[in-house]
Amino acid sequence: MTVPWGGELAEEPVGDNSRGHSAAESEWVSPRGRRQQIAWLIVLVVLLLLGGRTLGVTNVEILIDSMQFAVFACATNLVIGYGGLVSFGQAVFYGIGAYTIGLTWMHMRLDFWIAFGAAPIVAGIAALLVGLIVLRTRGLYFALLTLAFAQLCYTVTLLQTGFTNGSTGIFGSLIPSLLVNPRNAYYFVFGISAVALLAMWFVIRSPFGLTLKAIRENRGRAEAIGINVFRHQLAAFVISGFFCGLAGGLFVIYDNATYPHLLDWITSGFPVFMLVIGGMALFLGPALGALVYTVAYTEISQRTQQWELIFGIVLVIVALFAPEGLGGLVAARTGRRRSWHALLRVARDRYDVLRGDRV
Amino acid sequence: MNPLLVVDDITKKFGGFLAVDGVSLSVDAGEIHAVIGPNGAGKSTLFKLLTGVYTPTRGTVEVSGTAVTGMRPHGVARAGLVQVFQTSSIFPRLTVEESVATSLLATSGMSMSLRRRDWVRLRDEVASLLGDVGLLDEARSIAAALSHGDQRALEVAVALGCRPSVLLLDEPTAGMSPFETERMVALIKTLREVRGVTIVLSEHDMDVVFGLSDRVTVMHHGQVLRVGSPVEVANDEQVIAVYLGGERV
Ligand SMILES: Nc1ncnc2c1ncn2[C@@H]1O[C@H](COP(=O)(O)OP(=O)(O)O)[C@@H](O)[C@H]1O
Ligand SMILES: [Mg+2]
Repeated sequence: MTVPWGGELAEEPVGDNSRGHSAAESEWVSPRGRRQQIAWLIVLVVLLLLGGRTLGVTNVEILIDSMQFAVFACATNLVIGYGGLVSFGQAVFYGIGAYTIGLTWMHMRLDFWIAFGAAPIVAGIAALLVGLIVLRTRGLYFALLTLAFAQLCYTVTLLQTGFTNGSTGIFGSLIPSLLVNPRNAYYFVFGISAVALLAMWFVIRSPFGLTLKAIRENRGRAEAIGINVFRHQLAAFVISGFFCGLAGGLFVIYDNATYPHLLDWITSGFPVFMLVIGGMALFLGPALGALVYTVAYTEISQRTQQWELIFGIVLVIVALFAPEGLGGLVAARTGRRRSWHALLRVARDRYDVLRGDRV
Repeated sequence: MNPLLVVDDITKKFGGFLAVDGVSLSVDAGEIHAVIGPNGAGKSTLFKLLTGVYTPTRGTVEVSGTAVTGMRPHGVARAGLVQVFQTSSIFPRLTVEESVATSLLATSGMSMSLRRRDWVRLRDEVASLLGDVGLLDEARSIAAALSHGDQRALEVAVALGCRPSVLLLDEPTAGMSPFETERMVALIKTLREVRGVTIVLSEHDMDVVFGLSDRVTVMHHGQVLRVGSPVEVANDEQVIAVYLGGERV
């Protein structure tokens, strides 16, 4: 099983590729690059703040939709991009967030603000319970189990008609009148999304985030240096579930309703699509993907029924020609250089892991 | 001196195949102990049994008086027994300093911390470890872009971040150029002298074994053939017969 080091690597030209390629593939960014990114971010925030007043109502609503999706996609990326755990079931927590508001309104007429605050907590607890089970498995089994959980929750929501209103979903005045005005909703969703993204950014930059990336990079090695892999992945899963639930709460503000399909596999696929399009290496890549997706969906679905086909084609093109997504292209312009040698090495490492040579 | 690492009758069966067969071993504090033997003798399997990567079929492992048999790898590492694998095993897309910080964080119990300053605070210690292995200039390079020799040195630095009492090095010089090998040998010597780490290494380069080790265990077909000083082992008839193929060293 073990291939001795000599063979394939001895042929490698040693030396010329060992220097000067700082941080090509890592998330490390030069101070200059960081300043550029912050400048762009400030421009973006100013534009979004102005947009809430100046844009038409249709566009304001598209942006609200984008922002809640951005939270959903970035939260999913905590697990997929940073945790290396391909989950196809994050919609469970998104849906639970939305239904926390919907159900407490329907059955108890609970105050919206309390329900909105509870949504991410309930979703986080759900993520803890689901994570305790699914994180016992790896790779394909993990992906399939998360998918199975999502479909299970979807089916339960659909069939418990008395409790959930079934396929009709929950309609009514779920949200306070203040938020019915799209411009108010816009600023509220913007504020919450910004805080949520910032919080996730701090998570990624923390010792915990670094450890999570190390586990993604090399699980066996991480264990060998004393890292309790399960505990870290579970924490990442819970944090992700928390923010997915928050996004679900924001969805209710956007749509004033909840439906079972918020929990189904197609909804689980949305953030995956967004983070592939936007790129998962850059923190805001999935948010960019959310914006592109929402705008493209609005435009395309008005013109043709075949939008899924078009998205499929786009996905293939991105996967082939910009595997780091649009975010990767942006990053390439802000102080990060790509090293083909590094990429080749990473590819070979992956190959070795797949062949089972790596512990 | 009290032995720091005590291995008793450790055994591993893969299916019906005995890869490691009743190996006992005791390593004193401060010792450099070499495990040698032909390919397939069971050296790597033995190391993985010690660090909990594999569960032994039978036998026990003790480090500094603590039984670590049956513990998960992360638990064994916390107990002070840390391994550098035979196949290069880095965190490809982390930078060199991030890689070392990862093990320091795990060892100081801060790997779940959400405060960035907990790892910024470790920068000095990271730098000191990188200085020891000669990678200070590469602190911000990504691990995957390093040369093979540098990657191996990085793995040692990462293992040192665990503040191990016993460091297991599985073929640390395999695939290295003579220059890189010399550097690794010097590094291993420094580790014992400066950091007082006890080292168990498997090695096929006899010059390295002779230059470094205090004692040698020879393995063959999963069993211990002979334990002794390098000179004793090299002059043992049985060892010469099975391992060195009749050649004198
Ligand atoms: N995971 C495994 N499953 C089955 N057989 C294994 C496994 N790992 C090692 N072996 C076998 O055990 C024997 C010892 O291997 P190893 O410990 O790698 O030897 P060494 O490191 O001394 O070259 C070899 O015959 C090898 O094929
Ligand atoms: Mg081996």
